Amino acid sequence: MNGIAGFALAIFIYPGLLAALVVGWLLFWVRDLAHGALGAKDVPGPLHTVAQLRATYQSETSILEGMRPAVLTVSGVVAVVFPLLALIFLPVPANPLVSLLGFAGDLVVEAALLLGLPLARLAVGWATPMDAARRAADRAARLLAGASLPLALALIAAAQLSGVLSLRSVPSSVSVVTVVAQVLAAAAFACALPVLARRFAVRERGETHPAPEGELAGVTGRDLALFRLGEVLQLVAVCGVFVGALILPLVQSVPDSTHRTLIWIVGVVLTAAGIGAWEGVRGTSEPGNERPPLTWWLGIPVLLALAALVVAAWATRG
Amino acid sequence: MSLTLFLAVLTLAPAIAGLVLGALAIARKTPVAVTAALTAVGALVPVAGLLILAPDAAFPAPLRVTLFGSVTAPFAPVLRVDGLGVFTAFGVAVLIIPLLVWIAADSLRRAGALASLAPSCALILGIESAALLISFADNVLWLVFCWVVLAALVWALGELGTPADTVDRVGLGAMVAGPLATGVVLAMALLPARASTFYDLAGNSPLVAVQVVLLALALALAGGAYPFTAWLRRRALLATPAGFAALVLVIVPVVLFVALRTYGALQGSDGLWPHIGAVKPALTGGIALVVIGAVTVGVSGLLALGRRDGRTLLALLAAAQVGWGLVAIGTGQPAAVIGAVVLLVTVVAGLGAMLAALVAGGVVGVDEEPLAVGPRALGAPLRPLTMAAWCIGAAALIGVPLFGGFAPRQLMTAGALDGARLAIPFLGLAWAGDALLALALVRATAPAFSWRTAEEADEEAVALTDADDEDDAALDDDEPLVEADAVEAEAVSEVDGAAVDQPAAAPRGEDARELPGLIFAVLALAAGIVPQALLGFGTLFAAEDVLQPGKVSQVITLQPFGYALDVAQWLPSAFWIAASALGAVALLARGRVVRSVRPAVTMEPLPEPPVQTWKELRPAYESPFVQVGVDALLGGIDDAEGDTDAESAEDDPEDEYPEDAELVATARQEEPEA
Repeated sequence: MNGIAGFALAIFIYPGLLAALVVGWLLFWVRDLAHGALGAKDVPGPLHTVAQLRATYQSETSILEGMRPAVLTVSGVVAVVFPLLALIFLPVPANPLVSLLGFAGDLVVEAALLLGLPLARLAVGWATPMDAARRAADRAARLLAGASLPLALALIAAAQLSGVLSLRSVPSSVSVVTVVAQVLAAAAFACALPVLARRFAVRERGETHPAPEGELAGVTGRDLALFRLGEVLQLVAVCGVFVGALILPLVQSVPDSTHRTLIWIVGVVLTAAGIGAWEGVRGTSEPGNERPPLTWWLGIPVLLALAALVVAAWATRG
Repeated sequence: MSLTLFLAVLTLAPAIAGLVLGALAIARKTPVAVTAALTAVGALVPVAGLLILAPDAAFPAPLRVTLFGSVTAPFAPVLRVDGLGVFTAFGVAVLIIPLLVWIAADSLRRAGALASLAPSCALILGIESAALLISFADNVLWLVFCWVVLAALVWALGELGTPADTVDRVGLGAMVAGPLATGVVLAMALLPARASTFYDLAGNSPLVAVQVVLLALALALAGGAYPFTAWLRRRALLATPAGFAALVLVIVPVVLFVALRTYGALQGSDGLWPHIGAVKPALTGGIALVVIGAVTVGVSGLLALGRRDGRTLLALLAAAQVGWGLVAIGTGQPAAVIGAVVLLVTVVAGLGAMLAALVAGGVVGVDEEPLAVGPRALGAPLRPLTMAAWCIGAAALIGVPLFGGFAPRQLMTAGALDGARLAIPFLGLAWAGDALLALALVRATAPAFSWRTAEEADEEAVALTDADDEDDAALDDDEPLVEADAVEAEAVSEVDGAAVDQPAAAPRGEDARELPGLIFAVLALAAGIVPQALLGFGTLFAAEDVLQPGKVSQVITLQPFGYALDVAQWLPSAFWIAASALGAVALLARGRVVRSVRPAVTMEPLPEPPVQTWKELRPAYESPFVQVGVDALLGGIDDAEGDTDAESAEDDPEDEYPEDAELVATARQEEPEA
């Protein structure tokens, strides 16, 4: 395949923009289904996300006095581009870039790109001259700060097990200890999934004029639509990285590419469902406790990550 | 001209010019033109000399000369010309010194004291000579001597204008203690080996693992790494703008350079630090460097969460860079060492961009400094280029992918995977520290985009258009605009109950002041877009002088879009192409935006102090193990906002986690009627 054509294909078709949008729409619906099932809420239809996005896009775009348009523009673009980059350079099956550039993904790059959307939202929240948005940004920052340590340690454990930073290599030997370490690392990373894939809540006034809560409370119209689009893409990226970096190594004995593709698909869908289920369960808890305190993250998630590191060190002691 | 004379001129010309300038300053005969001329001569001679010298650095073995005395004398100005020395010297002469001169001149000009520029320039020239001598030093004790002199000169630059009875003697002691301690540790290696130079030590190092631990502590002290960060923060708060710039732009890279030079001389035949026991996989004394370095990055991120003032944030960022450098050297792996050399460039570019932004924004100055949000003083107009320089510099220093600082970190991480497995978890801690630094910087910077001055409000009284559309007149006639009420934005007169001095709005024609920051930002960005060019243009050449022969080419391969290692690959140019294409599509999809303006619901330009946000971290902020020596070194100096003030930290339990209903109700009250 011609290099430029392959590059364009990867960016705009698969696994880039078009494929990401389609998969994102599906995963968002799966997430809503799981959320609704466990949260005892009405299950939205498959086109709910599309309708909401459309309504947001068509609603009035406004800006709070004093706020700079540039921060909305730049943050919105970052919110869309960073998850897409994380997807495009994932070594998903039949990714043209893998054969074209020989790029096999990079754990550190993927993790850093997944932080793009959350940080962009925080930037908007703190740049909004609205106390509620700023306070919400502060709370979201605590969430992100708490998730960053188990996230980093989990991925480092995965890198230690594989011995490389790329996502395509297969460990030379697999033992029970290796599997245990990988499972622990996946569990630690899973704790951070809801934070990375967090979406802003919307106050619905019919299907028109959806208004966000949280750090995006001051954002409306097309600016808001861009962020919602980013969240759709972020969900795909988060699920993809989780499966590619932490689940696939558990089944690395499967050589058949068709089966591996199936594992990708099932893994991504189950991950999205799991995120939705978690949101549904958390949604039934006491209001006021919607955000776990910062210190919660220093308990179980970090413990899982540290355990993964210890077991990984044991597994690779050579 | 002999090489000896050539090197003498190259390294000492700035000092001579500085001495002349200093003498004239004492005699009070320093018109600005004379100062500028002498400074230019002193600064340009090394640049010209380096351009002539650079091809000679390509010899397999370094060229060695002594300015006087014997090459084998224990203490003599023995110099070596090699890739690492020339690479570092270029950075000093071409990037750092001009920026220091500009910062000194600009800050004095703002204070109306440009006539007293001569002492600053004299000291800066002295700093340049000391730094160049360090870059080329081969005699260990001579390097330590020059390092001590450098530290003293940087201190003096930061104390210019301070009355003699109030100079910061404690800071001076802290600044020279690190070089002296490093000298003592290195002497432990010199004596048994009967060597006096790095060249003689190479391959003959008798250091044992315990001594490497001491070396790690000495380098940490010299660079302000944990647990010695307090002195760096102290000097950052007390120094003049030029002194502050020299602290982060000279001292920090010098520490990284000395660490590289030391590793190059003390590594064993396997390229590793002295081993600890006979465990498998091999564990070396370098683990101490890794631990100290990673903890430094983590603690810097933790402390940065509670701060928003520019000086402290930059000091913590600088400490974090030292931490990463120590991690890289500690692993003893070729890829990581290459990353440390790249780090020299990205540190200077990133810190230079942020410093220049602070100075251009008038946030850092000789007089009393205004309250500020990032590089934007409260009440000052927003300067887009300055903000861009600040943001790009920050992105380069915290390792954001696509920006300059990511490549060295990725190289270091890849190197750690090759080496001692015990070092790997600490890489995770360092990355987490960078994530916390990112949070702190975003929170400290974002509010700068949330208010307009009265002048800006008057100029832009119509509904806002897309920020990319410069032509306000090209409004979409089909879309009715909601004009803002003719409300003048209230001048920011009070923040947190304290009166805010209103700085004079800078004239619009001072865009030239933003140029230095922009230059460094472009350099930082270029290092992120095409690191393969940076690697090919001197970095790998410099790394070869630190590593075993032939190691560089074994480890790394340059590619059109990036580079590849055995265990990793990074193709930033491809990422940038993709990002640009996707960004364009995103903007097209959003379409042309005509925004109506809603009244702001708060006129407070700043969110609450960050220490309030991180209440749960109060035990960490109050811990003497996290803030080592803070009471002794920062008591009465550091801003109260950064401290966990007992009264301000009183928690209202109900306020800690406001219920959803309360949040929604508040938001509804604040949102105007559609």
